[in-house]
Amino acid sequence: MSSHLTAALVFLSVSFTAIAAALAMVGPLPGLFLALLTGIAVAAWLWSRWGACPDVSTSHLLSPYLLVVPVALILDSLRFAGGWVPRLASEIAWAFRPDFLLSDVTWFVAFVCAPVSVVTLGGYALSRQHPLGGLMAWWTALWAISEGLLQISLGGTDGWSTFDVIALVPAAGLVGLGVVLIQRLLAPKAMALPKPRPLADRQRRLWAVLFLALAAVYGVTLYSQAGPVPVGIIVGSMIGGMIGWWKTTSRHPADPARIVPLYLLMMGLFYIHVGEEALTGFNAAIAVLTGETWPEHEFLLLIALAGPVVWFFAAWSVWKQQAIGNYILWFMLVGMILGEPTHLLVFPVVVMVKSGGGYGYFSGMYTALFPMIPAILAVVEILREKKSRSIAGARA
Amino acid sequence: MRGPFLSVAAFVPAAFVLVALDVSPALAHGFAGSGWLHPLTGPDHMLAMLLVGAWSAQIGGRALLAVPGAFVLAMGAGACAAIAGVVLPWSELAIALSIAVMGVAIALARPIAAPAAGLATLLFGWAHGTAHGLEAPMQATAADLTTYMAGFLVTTAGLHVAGLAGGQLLLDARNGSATLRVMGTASTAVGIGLYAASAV
Repeated sequence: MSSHLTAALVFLSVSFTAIAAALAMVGPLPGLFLALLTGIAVAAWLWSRWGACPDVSTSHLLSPYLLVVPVALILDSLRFAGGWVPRLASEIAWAFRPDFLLSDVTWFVAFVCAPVSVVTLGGYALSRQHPLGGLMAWWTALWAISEGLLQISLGGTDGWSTFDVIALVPAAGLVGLGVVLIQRLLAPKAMALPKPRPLADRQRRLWAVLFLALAAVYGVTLYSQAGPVPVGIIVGSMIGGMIGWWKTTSRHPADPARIVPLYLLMMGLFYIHVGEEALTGFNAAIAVLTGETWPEHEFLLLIALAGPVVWFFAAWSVWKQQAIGNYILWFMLVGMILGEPTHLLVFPVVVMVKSGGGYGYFSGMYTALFPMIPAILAVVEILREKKSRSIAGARA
Repeated sequence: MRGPFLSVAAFVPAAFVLVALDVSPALAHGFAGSGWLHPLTGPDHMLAMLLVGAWSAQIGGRALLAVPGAFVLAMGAGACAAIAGVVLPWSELAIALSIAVMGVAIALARPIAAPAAGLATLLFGWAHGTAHGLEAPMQATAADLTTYMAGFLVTTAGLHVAGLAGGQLLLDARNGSATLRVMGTASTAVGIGLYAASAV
């Protein structure tokens, strides 16, 4: 009972704060929409099994839940590339407060980063079988359906562009995922995870070649946009992740029941960090360091929207014990542990050396270290698992 | 670890990142002078390059090197020729056709000699090279052009390797051969669509 009460109290306090912030800063319509969504989610949660959290030790509920964020980000990437923000500003300007400046960044923070972070942290609760997870599953299902319907209703209002047409696919996908989630929330049933099959050496090598090729292509993409510094960090993380994956989970995938909660916690915290970077102009700050211009539009599309599709997809893929998910898991772990501290240890120092003055704020600094905590715990867990498997193998 | 459909699903987000780059005209303009990104800024180029890798995986043997190698060589030559003013006519149609033809080849999965496949990809590579050469930065120095060409050839090779490794993984999986053929059929449809769009 106490955990159910805790879940309700946490959910309601966060929701009321978010609704108040939306009303005060964004506008009446987003605030009322959020209030409606939250109210229905709480009512549905209370009504269905009086808040009993479905058994998420199975893949029955978590599997569609984990797909919601990547599909939503695909939709948001298409929206962003297709001029969704100016369309919102012109078509439904009345929905926002007159003093709310709807820009690419404010749209991303308010309508993408905030809900995605909340859904991801809710996924953490769900994967830990906390009652808050059941509540968040209801909220996420309703949010997914509403996002899909919003796209279907607003898409093509000023003529059907290619983006509008393509965006119908993820929009329909979100509605479908929301319906499946609700269906499974109403009728939870046990579905055991299939036993992982170890990868053969040939498959391991092929996956490694594929990952290296994708790392090379992603690296040159980023290099041409952002210059050598971000490439060094990200491609360095990719190579480090490759080594970690090869040495540990390439043959036997990580235990999803233990790793997915930590990964979701890490990703929730990391996406909040991406929000700070977007708000404080990380692209401009890096451009000052490297001398290479990095337009905000490209930064948001690659780092805040399209790139995270893959990172969040990895949670589902790890849950399904796939090689690609286990590789991305390692890439992200290395990135969080070795890459993110550069916000405190490298970038501000380089600025200090280049332009004089003291140690000062660098974009993303305040939230850079928090994802490290679950990342380190996940590495410890993976290594422990590998060690126990080695001991068991030696005994056998 | 799982069936081929999940393996295919695993590629979707990775491909999405690349496709997401294509869908923004602003990005495409921004990258017009960057050889590294050129193969990624058109879905036609990117799909063709992945298909080259997947097709070579399906043929196997000497084709593993011959088919992607022929494509990259012809692409470089086609780009050089276009920069020098020797332009293959209807190169956009030829690019669309390359996707449709490779899609059909993958869908049919008939045995084909590596030299024949290599010859076909020579023609396709030349067409893609022409398109890349035509979009080379204007009034660039020789060094800039070299960087531009090295950029798109490296990215092209990366996509070939990704297609090849992904194709091999699919073929190793249960029902993977059928899945690859379905993907070939879908690519054919895309190629025909692009061909129709180019013809209009």
